[in-house]
Amino acid sequence: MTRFYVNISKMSTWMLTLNHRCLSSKVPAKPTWKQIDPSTLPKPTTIDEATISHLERLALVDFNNQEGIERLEKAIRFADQITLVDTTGVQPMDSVLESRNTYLRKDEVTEGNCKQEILKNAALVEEDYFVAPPGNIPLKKKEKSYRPKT
Amino acid sequence: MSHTLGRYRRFTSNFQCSYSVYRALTRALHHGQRLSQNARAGWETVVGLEIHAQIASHSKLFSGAGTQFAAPVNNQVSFLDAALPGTLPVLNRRCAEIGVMTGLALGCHINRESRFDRKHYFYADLPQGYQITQQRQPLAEKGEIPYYFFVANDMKSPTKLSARIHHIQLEQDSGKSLQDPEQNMSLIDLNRAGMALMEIVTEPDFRSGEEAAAFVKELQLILTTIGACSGVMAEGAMRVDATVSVNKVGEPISTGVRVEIKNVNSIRGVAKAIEYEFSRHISLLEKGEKIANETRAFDAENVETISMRDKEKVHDYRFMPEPNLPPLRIYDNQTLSSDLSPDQVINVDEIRSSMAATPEERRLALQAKYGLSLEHCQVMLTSEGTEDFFTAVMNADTTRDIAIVYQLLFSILLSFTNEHKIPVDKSPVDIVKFGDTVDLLCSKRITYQVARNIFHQYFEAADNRPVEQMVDEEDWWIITDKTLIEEHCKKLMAESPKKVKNHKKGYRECGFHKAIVVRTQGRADPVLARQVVEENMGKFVKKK
Repeated sequence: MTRFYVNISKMSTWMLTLNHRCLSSKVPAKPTWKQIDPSTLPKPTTIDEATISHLERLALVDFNNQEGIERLEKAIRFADQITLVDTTGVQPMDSVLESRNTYLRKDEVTEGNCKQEILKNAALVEEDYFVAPPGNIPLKKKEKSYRPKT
Repeated sequence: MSHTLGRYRRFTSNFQCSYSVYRALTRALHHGQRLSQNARAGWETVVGLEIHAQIASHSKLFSGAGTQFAAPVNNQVSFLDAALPGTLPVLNRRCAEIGVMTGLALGCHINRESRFDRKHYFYADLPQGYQITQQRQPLAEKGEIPYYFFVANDMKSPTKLSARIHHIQLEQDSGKSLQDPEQNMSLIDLNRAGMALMEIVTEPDFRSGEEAAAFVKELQLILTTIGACSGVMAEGAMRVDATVSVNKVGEPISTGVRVEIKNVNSIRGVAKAIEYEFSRHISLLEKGEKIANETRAFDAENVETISMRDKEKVHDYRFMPEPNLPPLRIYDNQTLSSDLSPDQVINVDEIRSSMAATPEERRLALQAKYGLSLEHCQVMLTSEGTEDFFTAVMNADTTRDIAIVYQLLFSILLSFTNEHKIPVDKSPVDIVKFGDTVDLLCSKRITYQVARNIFHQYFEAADNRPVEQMVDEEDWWIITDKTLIEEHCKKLMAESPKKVKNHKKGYRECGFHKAIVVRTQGRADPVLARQVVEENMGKFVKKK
């Protein structure tokens, strides 16, 4: 949270020097600082190997090394600060447009019939089908451990 | 994704607060009876269904691509369906209306505000990497519909049952994958990707495969009647997932392990897949083995369910609100405001008043107006156009004998229209000709066999004479001359003395009354023929 405010402050300073006015009343003109007592935060999260392989599978990203895990743990630690914000009585918001209605389109065929263009993106095509790897094959479970041996 | 995007639901049967205590009690009593009827060797099954019904719309749920079945591969794909960057979903108004209509037909509460969510999967036939669905606030909830359960081989005793609908949600369909294990690849057709589905989720209210099948049949009838879905299961327009659990009679249903059967695409298949699963559970449980909480596929060819190995891993769908779609709001006459553009408003009251009558309403009307039995109503509802035809014939002359009209329509006219594969309203036997034939039957001036001959003329010989003229010219009037029939009977007796002997000794009935009808080209009054035979030969009494 601290870092967030620093960035905003940089931005608003920049805007002030350029225009001498604040573009949005919602953006504070000056940064505010608040020391957070780490003991008020939830317990630090440690990531086990099973979680890592699950995340790798979901994100299709390879964490690769211990450094990656540490970075992830730090990111979670940083995000832990948000738990200190009091949200009692505040409804969660999906989107800034949620007070509007979703737009309704007429039921008419206006798109499609563009097989050639669609298939341009395919690495491999066979008889107008996209070619993909077979079935739903789970990523191979890696045997290596990311945890340092203690 | 092998095209179902179902998921496990809480399987506890929670009665809604709106149900009165009386209703809950009678239901519980009835439930007990049904359980004991369907129990097998001390075991009973509880089944919940999820039905994916393709919405009958011209274009897809969030894109303007077409929705025809069996279109050229990858030719009904918009940039959104192929998940190209920079595209955004725009809701198809018709799909939302059909969702509301279905909710009303299934007795649901229509949520005035419903939201869209993303459900994530990794499948080659889902290019977005997620399906837009309605997880938190679906379009409709808490419905209930009656359905009729006809016991096999006993069409005379339908039981009226009722099933509760948990909710109905709008969602996108996935593309189709063709697996080619030999070349080690799968072929992807995105024509179906993004087509509109309704997922209709029931409470676990079924106690056997047959009950579940009867419900699906009724649901199919409702959806086709209101025009929400083509209902053609063979084309995948309706796909059924069943969640089955088995427990000991007397133990709570929560003791059974749930197994989900995916993608059953025929009504018989629903009954068979569930019954197979019931037996499989029992045999495993009796051996003391554990049932795995898994997803299985139904193999219609071998009538068995098979474990779907790639589904073993617990899915992490990572549901999240769909940020690109504001909520869908539904209005009624009270909440309607004039500053909304009419083409942006869906009014639930308007939809309700313009909806076609549901099958249950039609059944009740037919029973009340014509005193038809439930089975006859069911037959009329399930064969297209017959209800209108029947009503038109009866409206033309309300004094007509309903039993004769029904018999002539379903036993004779339908056999011709089915053979020629034409709808009843396109039949060469129109309402006037049909009505005239009915009247001749009612006044006992022709026989059913002659009625069949008349229809044969219209269908096969392109004859266009009015009924009476045809009967007159062909000399097809009924033979009620007793002496003439007696003559035939005497002749038959003289021809086959052996049959006469067998009949009189009680070995075998002679069947001369039928022979007389045949010898008179179907013109002899069959009742009179039987009477004459009895008078001459004596009543047939089977020797014990």
